[in-house]
Amino acid sequence: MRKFKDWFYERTGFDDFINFLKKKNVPRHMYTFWYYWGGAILVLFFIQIITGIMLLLYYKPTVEAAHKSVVKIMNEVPLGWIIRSIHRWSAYLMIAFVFVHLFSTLILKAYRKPREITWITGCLLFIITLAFGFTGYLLPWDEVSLAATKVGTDIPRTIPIIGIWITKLLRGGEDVTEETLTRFFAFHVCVLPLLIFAIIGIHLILVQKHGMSIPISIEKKKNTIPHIPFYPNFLYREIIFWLLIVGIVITLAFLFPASLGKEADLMAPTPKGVKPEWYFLFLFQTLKLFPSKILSIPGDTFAVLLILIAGIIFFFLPFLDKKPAGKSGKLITYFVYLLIIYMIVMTIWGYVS
Amino acid sequence: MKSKFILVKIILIILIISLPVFTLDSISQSKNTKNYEIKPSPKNIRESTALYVYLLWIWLVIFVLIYIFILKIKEVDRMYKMKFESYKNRDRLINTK
Repeated sequence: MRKFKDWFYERTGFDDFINFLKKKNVPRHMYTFWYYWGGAILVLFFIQIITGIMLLLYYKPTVEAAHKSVVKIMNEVPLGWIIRSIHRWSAYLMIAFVFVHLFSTLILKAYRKPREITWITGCLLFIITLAFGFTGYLLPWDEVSLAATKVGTDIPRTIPIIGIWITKLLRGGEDVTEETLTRFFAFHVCVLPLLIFAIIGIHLILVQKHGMSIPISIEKKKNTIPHIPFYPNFLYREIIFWLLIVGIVITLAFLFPASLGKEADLMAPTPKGVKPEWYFLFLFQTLKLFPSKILSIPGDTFAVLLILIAGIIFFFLPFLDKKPAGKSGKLITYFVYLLIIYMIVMTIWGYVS
Repeated sequence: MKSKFILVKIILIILIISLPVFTLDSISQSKNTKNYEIKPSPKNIRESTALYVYLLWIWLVIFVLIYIFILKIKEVDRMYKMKFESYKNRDRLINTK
């Protein structure tokens, strides 16, 4: 075993990597808990890859076969229903954890200098994660997913000048058809994974370069902050968190397995009361709040533009909040808390309405 | 100490593999494919028992693994503290002022 280890290290330089991890420090303070979420997202992403590849072995991305292949996965493929349920629940948890990671970064002001590009790559990963959810939702080709995709791909149409082009690009034509299914499948299993791998790589390199951000309140209190080595001290703690997550995903997949609706019919009218997935509900509900016209601009165009502007501000926040790392910036903190409350209220409202 | 850990790991792996996983495969499945929602659920008491037993087993394995890792954390923290105090390794403290 030792001989093999030496042989392997000599050829791969893996021992250098281990030494690097041993030298890497992680600050230890009352907010260290928030450092675990990025790693947890990665674990969920790997669960997604493994279960996704398993589903890919049986899934057929055509209008005639998509729904039937999912039925086959659930009814005939050994443990297929569990794999599909784990895929769905790990996706839900991954999205939820991305939200938590994003908001904790905002509240702890970890986006400030010199971590501006880390923040931007994080925002891109957030958008890609949502895009994974959106494209994956159509793939079972059931009635609800078709209707939700029709509504979802229709929203960009309200953007002036480029809106119609975006809708056509997403749908592969004027309406949601087999072209849309093919495109969403290609995005879900090829384009988005390539993008996410590249951006995760950059994000991780930047995190290694700048180290973990230390919260302002901790910096103010102490002159020196205790650190622990990443390997093995911090990694063991992370593994405990990962084990709990795996347990939660499996439990949810068993107790609340993913169901499948009626097969989608392109000729059938859109069913009433169609709602998007929970992570888009707050946006969906926000769009419903706007009147049909505001200052002679159509209400939905106004709403979409407003959301887009908010998104751009969010994206470039480190360049707008240029306070030195030590300054607290309480206004942004209060705004983030308000945003979290707004999102929760809107999601609940959207769910019950 | 190390060999004990290896032994525990091997036992855990054997226990996991020996689970009656395939009894779970029969859970689910109404055969309607076109007109109704398909929702996997246990068909009888035997299947629902198998499901809960499996879940219980998973959590048992997870808690055993967590216990092992807690012990390991205590050990590596102690070793790090010893090394840190004996060598006065100031590199592990970052001056923020």
